[in-house]
Amino acid sequence: MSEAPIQGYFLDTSVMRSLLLSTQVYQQYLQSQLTNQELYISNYVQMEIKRSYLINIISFYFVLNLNGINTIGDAFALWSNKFKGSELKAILQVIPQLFNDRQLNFSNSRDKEKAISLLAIYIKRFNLLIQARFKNTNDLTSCARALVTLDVDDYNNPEPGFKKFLLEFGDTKTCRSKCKIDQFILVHYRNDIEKLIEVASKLPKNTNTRGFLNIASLFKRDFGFG
Amino acid sequence: MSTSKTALEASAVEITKSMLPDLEQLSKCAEEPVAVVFADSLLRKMRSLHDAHMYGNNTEVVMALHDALAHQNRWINYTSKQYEAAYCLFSSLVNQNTITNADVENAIISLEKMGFNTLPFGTILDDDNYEDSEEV
Repeated sequence: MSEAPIQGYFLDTSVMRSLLLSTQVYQQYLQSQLTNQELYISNYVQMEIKRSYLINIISFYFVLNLNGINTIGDAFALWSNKFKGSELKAILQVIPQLFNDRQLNFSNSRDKEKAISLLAIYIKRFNLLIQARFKNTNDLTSCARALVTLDVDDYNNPEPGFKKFLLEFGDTKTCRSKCKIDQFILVHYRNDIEKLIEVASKLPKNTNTRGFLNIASLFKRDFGFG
Repeated sequence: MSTSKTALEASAVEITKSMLPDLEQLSKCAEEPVAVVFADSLLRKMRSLHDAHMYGNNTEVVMALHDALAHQNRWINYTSKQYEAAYCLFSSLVNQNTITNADVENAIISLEKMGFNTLPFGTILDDDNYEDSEEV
């Protein structure tokens, strides 16, 4: 019996993130593996992209907008001194490309306003394309945070929209009160996850298995599996 | 009035219209060395639009194409057909009386469907740490 043709690919967060933000070579490699098929994500995956990248770019927007920050270079200096995580470093590597392509001067205070506008335009475009490039599927986790939308009506003054998004997205108490991820993991997919953990217990620890084993150990630690 | 001041006062639609001849030329010679003449002209006009009109619906669409073309000189990789499609898109936009937010979004999605990567910026990602530092 011949295998049914692949109808599409469901992307996890790391693949979606790589398609959006990795180097050109790696993006081309991934695209070559995913040609001519629909790419599916869930609200939850989209939420993770927003949490790990969009939130940081918006935060950087507010750093650049500070009164005491005179130049683009000042904003990057403050950011790099204060924040150390890998996602925060990604900002330092991605956003300078945006400003360099626009040929902005990082030491000239006259280019700060241009950078702020460019960043607002980029944020809006990024938010649009994470929804437009990928097809959404049902999100059985009912992630409330994933439903928080970034709405900026007036791009002459994007701050209120950005602030509203940051506040609602960061409201863990409200998000948790609506979240059903515990039912998703402990009820709907309990048997599947137990099987995955059993598989993980038989795998050697190496570079190829590290990601899978880490996720299995998170299930054990946070949800009492195993 | 100086020439530079006149240029700054040109409307966003006028500057966008001024890009059309460059896009038209690129649609004819995209794969030839002479394409650099029109790509350079196009990118300069796009930047002058952003200089004069940092916010605005025209600017948002134009900067989406700007980023796709300017990053790592990717304008050199795009084909005549793609430039022709971009020409049609911008011709249509400048002939509209008003451009709504929905028009902007549709235009950017159209550019993507034409094959222009409007989010071309990338880096080497550290895949191990993206999910372990935040609360669900």
